[in-house]
Amino acid sequence: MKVKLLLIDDDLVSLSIVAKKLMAEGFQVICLDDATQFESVLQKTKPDLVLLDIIMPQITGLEILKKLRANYNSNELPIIMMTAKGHPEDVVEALELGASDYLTKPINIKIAVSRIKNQLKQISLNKDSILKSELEAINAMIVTYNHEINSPLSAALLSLTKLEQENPDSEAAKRIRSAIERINEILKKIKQVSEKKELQFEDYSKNVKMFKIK
Amino acid sequence: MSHQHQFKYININNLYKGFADDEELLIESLKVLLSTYDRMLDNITNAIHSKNLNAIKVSSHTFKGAISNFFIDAGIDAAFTIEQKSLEGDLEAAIKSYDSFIKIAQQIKLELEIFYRAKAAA
Repeated sequence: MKVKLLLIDDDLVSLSIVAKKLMAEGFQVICLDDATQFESVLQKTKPDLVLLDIIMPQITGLEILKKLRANYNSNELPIIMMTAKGHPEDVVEALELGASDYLTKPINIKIAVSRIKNQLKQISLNKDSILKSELEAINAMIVTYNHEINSPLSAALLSLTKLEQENPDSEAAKRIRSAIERINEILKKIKQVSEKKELQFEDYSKNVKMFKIK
Repeated sequence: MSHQHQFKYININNLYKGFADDEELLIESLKVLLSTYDRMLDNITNAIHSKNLNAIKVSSHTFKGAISNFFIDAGIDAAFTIEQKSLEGDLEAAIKSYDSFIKIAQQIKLELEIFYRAKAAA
């Protein structure tokens, strides 16, 4: 699937040239010359990356950047600013506002492609890193289960089993057997989670997932 | 094309510079430039007449960006002068720069049209 870029620039000439060159490099390019429409176009097209001119009428690239960064971090939506020579203060402000990178106009397409690819690679690396951290957290949780829950439960199970064996016919023995069954169920589920090589998740509630254990 | 001598502002080698010898893309892009050229100049002229510093800044910046794709230095410099004056808040100087800018910009358009017509007819 092609990487989708949203290109925002009020200058139709630059917009057209950059879009054609990027398409020739294999990108899917969505052009927007009326920057005031950025929110609806972004919602509809869901680009992988935005290329954004800074100086535009009606709304500036810096204002758009500020609005976008209120909703998307740089991992979710990389934004590369496009600036003309002679405006270093705009570049500084853009980077402070969370721009991922910048390009100087007229856009050199090789540099543009390289910077776009760098951003996408960085996102992939960040995602891998987050996944690694999550897996470490899951492993730590499993070890914690084993150590902090499994051991005391096993000890409780042993005591209850002994108690049930000492009083097999008593009324209490029925309840003890029920408790033993419940504890065995818990131990079985902990064992299943511990032994899962590839953990699968299922929805618990709208925003919460749980391990799928059958 | 061997009539570089008749051009005061455009340099044919520079025109190709941003297009890596992709003449088709150059011609297509010139078509877009020429179709929006008058509107861009009108925006600058209107901004000057209405003495609107921000509009002068944005419209001259847009023009500069458009022709920078073709490396037309005289046009870039003339537009940049107006933009810079407006950025400095010097309306009088921006208006003063406009007269020489518009002459240069109109001459550039003439030269681009000659080049474009010759290429389109070839």
